[in-house]
Amino acid sequence: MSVRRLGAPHPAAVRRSHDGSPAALAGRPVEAVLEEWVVEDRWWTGRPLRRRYFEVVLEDGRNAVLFRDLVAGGWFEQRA
Amino acid sequence: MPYVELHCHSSFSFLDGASHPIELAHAAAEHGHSALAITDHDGLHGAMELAQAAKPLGLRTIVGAELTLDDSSHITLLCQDRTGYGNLCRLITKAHEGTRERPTEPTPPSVPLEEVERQAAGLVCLSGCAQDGAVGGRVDRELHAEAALVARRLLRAFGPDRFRIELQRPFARRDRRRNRHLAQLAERLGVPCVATGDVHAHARDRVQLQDAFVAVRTGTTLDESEPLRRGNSAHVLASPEAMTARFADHPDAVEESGRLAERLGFDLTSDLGYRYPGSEDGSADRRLAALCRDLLATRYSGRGTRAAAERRLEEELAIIRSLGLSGFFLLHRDLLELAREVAAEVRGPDSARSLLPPGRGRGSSVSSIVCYLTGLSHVDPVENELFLGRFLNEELTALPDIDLDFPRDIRDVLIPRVHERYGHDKSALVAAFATYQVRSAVRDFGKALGLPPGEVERAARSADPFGAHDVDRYLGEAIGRRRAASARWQALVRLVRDAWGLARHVSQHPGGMVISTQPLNEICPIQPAAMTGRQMVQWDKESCADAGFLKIDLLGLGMLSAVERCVDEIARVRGERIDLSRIAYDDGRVYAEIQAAETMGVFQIESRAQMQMLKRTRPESLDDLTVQVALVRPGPIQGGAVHPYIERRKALRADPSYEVPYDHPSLEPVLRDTLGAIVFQDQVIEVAMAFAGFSPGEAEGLRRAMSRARSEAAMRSYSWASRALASPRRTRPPSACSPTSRRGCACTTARSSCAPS
Repeated sequence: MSVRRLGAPHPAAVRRSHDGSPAALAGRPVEAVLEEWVVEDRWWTGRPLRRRYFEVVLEDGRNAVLFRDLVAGGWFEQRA
Repeated sequence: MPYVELHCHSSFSFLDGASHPIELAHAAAEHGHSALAITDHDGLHGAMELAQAAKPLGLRTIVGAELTLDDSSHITLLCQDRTGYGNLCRLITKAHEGTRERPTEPTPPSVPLEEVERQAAGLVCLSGCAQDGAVGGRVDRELHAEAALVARRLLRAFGPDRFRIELQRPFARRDRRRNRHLAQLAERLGVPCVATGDVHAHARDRVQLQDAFVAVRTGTTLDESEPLRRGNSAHVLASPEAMTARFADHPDAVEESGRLAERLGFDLTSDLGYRYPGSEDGSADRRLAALCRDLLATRYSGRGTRAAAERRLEEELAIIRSLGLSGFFLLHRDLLELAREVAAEVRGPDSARSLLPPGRGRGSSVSSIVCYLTGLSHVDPVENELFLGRFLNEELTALPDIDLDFPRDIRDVLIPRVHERYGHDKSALVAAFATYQVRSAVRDFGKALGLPPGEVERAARSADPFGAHDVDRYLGEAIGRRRAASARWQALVRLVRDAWGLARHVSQHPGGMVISTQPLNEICPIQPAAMTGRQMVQWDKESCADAGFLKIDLLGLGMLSAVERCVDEIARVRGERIDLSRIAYDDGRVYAEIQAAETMGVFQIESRAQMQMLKRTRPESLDDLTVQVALVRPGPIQGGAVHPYIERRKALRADPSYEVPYDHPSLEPVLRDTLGAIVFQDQVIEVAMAFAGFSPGEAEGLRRAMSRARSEAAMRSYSWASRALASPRRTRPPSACSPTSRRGCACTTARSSCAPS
């Protein structure tokens, strides 16, 4: 039996705007950026964490929480 | 208007701010800030440090504090004028009242909002930080009605001119929503918003230390303390341009910071208005001169040094008159007379100890003939050719320091007697800041990192107490190279290096007291000391000196108590009354024992380090002993003065015609007594004058900068290099220099001053 984490972040296809914020998620345009925050943590372990988060509203009215992994690169979506 | 930072914590927000005020000042200047506020938690402990560091950089200091209210929320208070400053001091004093009911378990300071409403004049109030602010914190938790209520109360107390809604952008999840609500509240109240940074570090590389401080402060580990930590580096001091970009949604709030800053004109370096008792006595010059001349006539009657003593006295009296310090010396004489009364009471009538003076002067004040004549010192400065410039010179900008040692029983009665003589509200002890040393840092941060306690303790004990930059090496020796290379242990190395020298908590100076003509809590906040019934100002001796406070040092010395017991015992056993002033200083049998290090229980030379050194230096006179005692101190040890001195003494013993090498001819008269090595702080001054052409005042300023924590940053503001280059006496720096030490040294070489800035 294995244990799987629920709601783990998964890679996301994000198009960026000029200021680095997400302009589209999986082809769906971002209507508005509601919040933006940064997490920098776990620097004392072998796996430091640096992420720039965005809470966005998509064109279809859905909320999404995205982050850019500033250590390894890449965009991810997580549960809002 | 460019952005000005109005909310900034230094390391004097203990275990929260991660940068010393000197570091913040330099960073702010480099970023192009015109002014910087200091708003530490419930205190002004670091305000004078910032003000002094900022001034030579052309940076204006805005004095303030983040005050904790009884409901644990915060407001930010900034001083507009002297009235506001007095009110802030009183509010902070009130906040600390009763926090030492249980001396070993202080409770956190706080003040009722009613008190703030009563003492609002002259202060500007910002509504508080994002997380814990009286208004912002409530909005963040969606308690909008409560937030509005508190905001209206603050608006009523401070008025629309002096109350602002504070916006912050810590890059936390609900920033925009919170700031939107706050801006709407501000509009309803009819007051502007102001943007602040809630700074906790001067540079990015201190963010980790700030995180670690949170863990230490809350008694948890970094792993456990995530909800309590700030979570990112948004609290690093940023440039005005970066802050303008950060608050792109609220440009008016950015402008408001600059507008407000223009109005906050209180200057801590010049507007305090402190006076000590006797400072305005018009007859003081005449009375001091008459007293000293009479005493000189008696003391030097028939002595060959009388003419030199008279010249020295007139020189000193002229300097004292020009500095307006006659009242200062007369006050100290009064204190000594008070000490005599107390000594007579404590010792009892007809005591064998009655021949002993009540106390002894120590330190730079023994170079003063005025102190010698008035009984504040027992050392003849003329006979001993002592250099006056460190204690007294025309460029003195702070009151001189007179240290007086007393037997403990006399001192314990003297301190309350001083409070009675000058007033309980006008006298208080001086603070001292316990700073992180290598071992305490290893222990605190090892625990925060969740490292095995046994290994942390091994690492702490193996570390060199003076080797903050070598922790890596000691760690490897203590727990093995492979383990020491892991991420957590390497994090420990970084934290120890960054925290070294920063204040960890405030405590009481062993004997410093300040006295004023006005109530002290209008000049500097007062807080209870750990000892019941004692209170202290929030400044240490250096900040007190910068403030121009009259500080008296009444120190209790166990050895003086032992001497008094000895004199009593001799009288009891042998029926003899000993007069210590008649003991010869040249008894060969005594020096033979000293050279053999048979000095257990002998004051100043009984430690293991001293005893090891005695066998090498082999002192033969009181002068040799003076050098010996000074050698075993961090400054000469780290500065590389010890080895040259010992080697040259050995060479002289082997061959009396040995010529001591000096790095430069100008240094020979200055360093002759210490065989070419820089050992004493006075020699730092004399070297700066002889070698680089500093005036006595400038040289004393350099010496003070070197003896402070974070001395490297402080000395940079001295621009030694440009000055030395201009000096016609400079060829190249003395070769006794070694890499600049960050640590302040009690006695040091001039090596830090040799590194070009």
